[in-house]
Amino acid sequence: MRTIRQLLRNPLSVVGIVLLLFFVVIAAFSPLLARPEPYQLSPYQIPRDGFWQAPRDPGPGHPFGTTQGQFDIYYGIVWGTRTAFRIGLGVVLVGAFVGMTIGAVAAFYGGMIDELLMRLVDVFMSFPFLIAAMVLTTILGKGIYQVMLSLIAFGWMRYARVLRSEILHIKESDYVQAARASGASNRRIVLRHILPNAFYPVLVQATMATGSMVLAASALSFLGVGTEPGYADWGQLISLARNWIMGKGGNPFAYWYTLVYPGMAIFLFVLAWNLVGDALRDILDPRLRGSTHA
Amino acid sequence: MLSYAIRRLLFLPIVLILLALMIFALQMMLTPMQRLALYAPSPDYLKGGETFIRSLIDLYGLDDPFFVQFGRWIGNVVRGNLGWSETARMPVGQAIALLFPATLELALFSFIPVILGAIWLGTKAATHHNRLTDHSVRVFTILGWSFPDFVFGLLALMVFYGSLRWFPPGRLSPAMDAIVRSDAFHRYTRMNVLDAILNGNGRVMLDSLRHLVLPVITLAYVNWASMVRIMRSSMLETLRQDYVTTARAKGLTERKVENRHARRNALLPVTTVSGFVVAWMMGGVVIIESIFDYHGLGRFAANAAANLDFSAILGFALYFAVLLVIVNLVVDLLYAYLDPRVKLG
Amino acid sequence: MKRAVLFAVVVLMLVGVAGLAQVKNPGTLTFLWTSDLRTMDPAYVASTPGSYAPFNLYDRLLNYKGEAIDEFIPGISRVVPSVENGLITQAPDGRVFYTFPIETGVYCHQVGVRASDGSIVWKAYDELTDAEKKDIVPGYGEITPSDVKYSLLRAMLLGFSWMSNAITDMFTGSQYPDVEAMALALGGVETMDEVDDATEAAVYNTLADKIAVRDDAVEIVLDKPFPATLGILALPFGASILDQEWAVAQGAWDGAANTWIDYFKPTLEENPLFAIENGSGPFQLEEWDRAEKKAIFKRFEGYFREPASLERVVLRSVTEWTTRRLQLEAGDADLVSTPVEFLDEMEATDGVTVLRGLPMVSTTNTFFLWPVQDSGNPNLGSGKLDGKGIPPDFFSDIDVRKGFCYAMDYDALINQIHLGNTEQARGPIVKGIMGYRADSPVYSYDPEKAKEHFMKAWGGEVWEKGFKLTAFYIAGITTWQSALGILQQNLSRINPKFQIEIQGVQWSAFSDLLWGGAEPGAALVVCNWGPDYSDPGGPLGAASYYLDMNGAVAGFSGSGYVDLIEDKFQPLLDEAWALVDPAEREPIYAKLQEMSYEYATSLFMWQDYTYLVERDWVHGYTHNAITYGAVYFYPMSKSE
Repeated sequence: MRTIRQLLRNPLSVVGIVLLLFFVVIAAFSPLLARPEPYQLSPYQIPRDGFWQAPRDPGPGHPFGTTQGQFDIYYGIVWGTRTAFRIGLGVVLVGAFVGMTIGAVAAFYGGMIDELLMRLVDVFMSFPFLIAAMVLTTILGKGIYQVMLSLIAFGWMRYARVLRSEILHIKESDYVQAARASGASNRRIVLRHILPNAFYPVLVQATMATGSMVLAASALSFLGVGTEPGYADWGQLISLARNWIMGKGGNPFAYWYTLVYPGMAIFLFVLAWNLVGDALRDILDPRLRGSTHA
Repeated sequence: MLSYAIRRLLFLPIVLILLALMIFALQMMLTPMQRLALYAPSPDYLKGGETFIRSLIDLYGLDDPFFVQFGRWIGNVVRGNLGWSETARMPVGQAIALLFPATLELALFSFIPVILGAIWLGTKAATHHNRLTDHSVRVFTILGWSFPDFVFGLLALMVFYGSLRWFPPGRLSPAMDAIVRSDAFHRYTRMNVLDAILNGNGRVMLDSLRHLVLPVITLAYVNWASMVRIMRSSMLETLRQDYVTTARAKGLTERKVENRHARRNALLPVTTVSGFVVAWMMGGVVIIESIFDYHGLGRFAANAAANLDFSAILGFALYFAVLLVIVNLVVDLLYAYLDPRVKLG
Repeated sequence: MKRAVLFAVVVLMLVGVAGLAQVKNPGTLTFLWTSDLRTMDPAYVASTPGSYAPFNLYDRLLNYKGEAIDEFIPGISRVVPSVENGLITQAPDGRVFYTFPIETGVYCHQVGVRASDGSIVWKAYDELTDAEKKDIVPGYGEITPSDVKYSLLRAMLLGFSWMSNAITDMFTGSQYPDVEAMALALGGVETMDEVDDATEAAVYNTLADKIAVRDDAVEIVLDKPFPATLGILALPFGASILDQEWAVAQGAWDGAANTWIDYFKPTLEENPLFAIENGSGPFQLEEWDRAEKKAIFKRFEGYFREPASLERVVLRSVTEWTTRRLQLEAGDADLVSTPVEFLDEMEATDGVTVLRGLPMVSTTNTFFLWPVQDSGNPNLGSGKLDGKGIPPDFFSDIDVRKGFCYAMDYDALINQIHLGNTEQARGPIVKGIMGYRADSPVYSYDPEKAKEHFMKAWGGEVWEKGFKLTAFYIAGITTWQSALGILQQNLSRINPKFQIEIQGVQWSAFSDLLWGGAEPGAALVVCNWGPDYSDPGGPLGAASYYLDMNGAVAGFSGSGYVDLIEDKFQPLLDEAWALVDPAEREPIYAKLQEMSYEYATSLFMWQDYTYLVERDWVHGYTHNAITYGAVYFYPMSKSE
C-alpha cells in the first residue's frame, strides 16, 4: 500500500501509470472500439477497404487513414494494443523468468555449473535467431504464438547475464559481507539481500523490453515469418509505411499518418513502461529509499 | 586473469559443436523438398517435374540421414572447409572473410558515438535527475527506440542524400570504387578508410568516411535508448551510495565525485550491455545495411536465413559464436577490472 | 564537450560538401534491381534475372526481332532459316532440316594466342595489337560451326536447367524431356549411376546425329516438325554459343561421347564455367563481385557487329525501394526496378521516364488443386464439409470452381491492385500467342451467378454448411495477397459461412506444398506461370503448361486435375501439336482456351506486365515479352 502511495506521489510515475491504464482500457474494449468485419476469421486481421496500394488520408470511415493495401490504421492501433500486451508481457515474463533462474543458479553455484550455463548462454546467443524463427515457422506454421516462442527462446539470455553479473557484484558488497559475518544463513542472504538488489537491472531491462517486443515481432513479420501481413500489430503498421516515407511529389509529409499513428502508439507504450519501471525501481530499491521526494 | 581467459577459451569448441548440432537438428526438421528450395529458388527451376526434383534431391544429398550429413560437414570444417553458400555464390569462408571488414568498419566507427554518447547522455540525465535535461534525454532516446531503425535511416537518407546530396548510400562512389579495385591500390584490410590511409589516398579516405556518416548516426541513435537508460539508472544508484555521500561530505567537488567515484561503478552494467551491442553490430545489422546499400554480414546472414542456406548459416553461426565468446570474455575481464571486488571464476 | 560536438559537426559538413562536385559517367549505365545473377554458365541458367548474363555476354544463332515473339533476326547464323529461303526443308519421310549459315570472324572476348614457346595463351581480344591478332590460333576464341554443335550438346548433356532440357525435348521430338530420362530408358536402369558406357555413348550419338557440322553452316535435323524450334534457339539460355576450345581449356566437358556423364548436373561449385565467361556477345564481364552483388559488363570492341554504344553496364542489387528511388532521382542510377504503385509518382518526377504496359507472356492465377493430401493436413480444417473445413477433393466439383470464378472481382484486380497497368487473363494463352482471341469468354464478378453455382455444389451441402480453407501465396508478393483478400471478402459476402484464411509462406514452404508429396498440400494457391517460347504447344508452350497432363501446372495440381486434363484437353493438345499448318492449329488452341473457361480449370486473373523506370537520358530499350523483360543492353545508350 505504501508502495502505491509512493508511486502516486511521483508525477512521472503517475504519467506512466495513466498511460498504461489508457492502453489497458483500449485493449479491454477493443471489440467495442473497433468492430471486426464479418469476413474476418479473426479479430486480429485488419479489415481492408479496397485494395489500392497507396495509403489513403484520414477521412470518413478511416479516422487514422489507411496503410498501403488499405488496412485501416485505427483498427490496427486498437487491436494492436492487445497484441502489444500479449507479445510484450508474454515474452518478457517467461523470458525473464527463465533467464533469471539460469543466471541465479550460475552465480550462486559458481565453478563448473557457472561455466557450463554461461556457455549455454553463449550457444543461444550465437544462435542465428532469424534461422530458428524461419525454420520454426516453416514447420509449425505462422502465427503469434510461434513468434512469441522464437522471441522467448532467444531473448532470455540477456536477463541471465545481467542478473548473474549483478549477483556477483553484490555477493562481495559490504552489507552482504556484514550479513554473513553476523551469521545469517546462505538462504537468508540470498533471499533477503542479494536477489532483491540484483533484480533491479533486470527490471530495468525487462520494462524496456516489454515495450519493444512489438518491434522485434514486426521485424520477423517483415521477413515473411511471424504473423501474416495485415495482422493487428503496431510494428507491422509501421513496416507497411516503409515505402511511403518519401511522401508524394516533393511533399515528404503526404503520408505522415502511416508513420505517426503507429509510431506514437509504440512510443507511448514504451514510454509508459519506462516510467513505471523506473518509478518501481526508485521505490523498491532500498538504497534509494528516502530519496523519492526529490 | 590469463588462466581465467584460457579456461574460458577452452570451452569454445564445446560451444561450437553444441551450436552446430542444434542448427543441424533444425535443418533435419525440414523435409528434403523444403530444403531443396535453396537450390531451386523460384518456380523456374522446378519445371522438370517429379523425376527432376528427385534427382536434384539426390544430387545435393538432402535425403541422407542426419549423421551422414553432419559427419560430412564436420569432416569438412576440420579441414578448414566451411562448405559452399548457394546464396552468396561462393565458399562460406570466403564470403565471411570478404564481408567481415565492411561490418567491422561500420562497427568500429559506430562504437564510439554509441558508447561514449550513451555514457555522456546517461550521466547528464542522472545528474539532473527529474529536471528538464533528464526528461529531454529520456524522450529523445525513447523516440529512437520506438521506431524501427529503417525509419530513421530512410529519413536521414532522404534529407542528407535526397535533398542535400551530402552523404550517399553505398560504401564508395563509383569513381573511388574503380580506384580501389584497380591494381594501383592495395587492399590490405578491405576496410576502406584504413586502406586509404595505408595507401596514402586522401580522396578515397574522405569518400569512404562520407559514406559511413549516415549508417553510423542511425546505428547510434537507435541504440542510445537502451544504453542511456542503463547508464542513467546505474548512475543514479551509485550517486546515492554511501561512499559517494562520504566523498561529498569530504568536500570533493561534484565533478570529482561524478568522475572518480560514481562513474566507474556506474559503468559496470553498461559494460555488460555494451558487450551485447558490439556483438550485435559485429553480427551485421541487416536493415541498416539494406537501406544504405552497404553490403555486410547482416545481409549475408539474413539472406542465408531466408533461403535456408544451411552451410552459410552454420558458417556464420560459428563465426558469430567465436566472436561472442571473445566479447563476453572481454566484458567479464573488464568487469573484474572495474570492480576489484569481483572475483573471476 | 560542446566544443567537441561543434567540431564534429563542422567536420561532417566539410566531408559532406567535399563530395558535392561529383561527376557522373556518361558512358555507364547503372541498373538497380532486386535480383541477383546466379552463374555465368548459359547452360545452367533457368530464370529471368539469371538470363541477363548470357543475354548480353553471349550470342545465339538467332535473336528475337524487336518486340515480336515469333519473328527473328540473324545472330551467329547469318540468315534466319525459313521455308521461303530454302533453309528449312522437309524430307518425304517427315524429317525437317534447318540450315544455319554461320558468320565468320566472330571472335570471343578472349582468344587463344600462340605464344613464343608454342603453347596457347588466352588473352583479351580487345587488348591485342594488330600484330598479335595474327597469332590467334584459328578456332580458339572464334565461333565456328563445331562450337555451335558443342554448345547445344553441352547444354543438353548438362541436363540442369529446364531451358536447356527444352532443347533435348526438341531434338528428341518430345520423346524425352531430358537426357536423364533418355539415358535411363535406353539403358533400362533406374539411376544415372547404373548407366554404362554403351548407353552413355548411345545418348550422345542420338543427339549428336541430329546436328551436322558443315564448313560454314550447321544443319539440324528433327525427326518430325517442332514448331518452336527457332524460338528455342533464340532464347538467351542454353542455346547460347560457347567456344569449345576455351570451355575445354577451363575444364568443362571435352565434347566426347563417353565423358559427358562426368559433367552431368554439376553443383554450382563443381562447374568450371560457374563464374567465368567467354562469349562473343556485345559485352564482356569485367567484374562479378558476388559479395557486393554487383556485376560490371564492359563493352566488347571486337564484337562482330557494330560495338555497343554503352561503355559499361553496372548491375547492382539494392533491396530497399526508397534507396533505389533516391539514387535514380540523384542521377546515380539510370534504371531501377519499381513497384507498380509508384509508377504514377515516378512519371511525375522530373527527369524520369516510365515505360509501362510492357507485356510478359505469363499470367498470374489462383489454382484449384485436388485431391489434397489428406493425412493430418491442417490446411483442410476438419476435412469434411461441415463448415469447418473442406474435403480433399473439394474443387473436383465444377460448380465450386465456377462459384469461385464468379466471386472474384476482376475490376478490382486490374484497377485497384494494378492501377490499370494490366489486363484480365482470358486463359493460359496471352495476347500475341496463337489461339488468343480478344473475344473469348471470361468470367466477371457476378455474385448472383456465384450463388447459383454454390447452391448446386456438392448437392447443396456447400451452401448449407459452408466451408473453411486456407489459401497460400508466396510471402512478400503483395499483389497476390490482395487478390486473395478480394476473394475472401467477396465469398464471405455471398455466404458468411464461406471462410478463407490467407497465408503467405516462404518459398521453401510453398514449394513443399506444391511439389513435396504425391498430392499437393493445399487446395488453393496463387502462382504465376508462363511459357518460354511463342508457340502455345510443346513442352514450354502456354497451353501445354496449363492444359497438358505432363505440363507444369498438372505437375503440382493433384491427380484430380490431371484426370480432368487427360480426359478433356489432352486429345486436342496432341492433335494440335502434330499439325503443322497454323491455320489448322489456331482454332484448336482457341478452343482449348475456351474450354479452360468452360471447365474453370483455374481462376485466371491477370496477365503479367512489367515496367521500366529510367532517366530521360536513357534510350534504346526494346521490350520483348518472351524474354520476360530481360534487358538487352546492346542497343541502349545515354544522351541528353
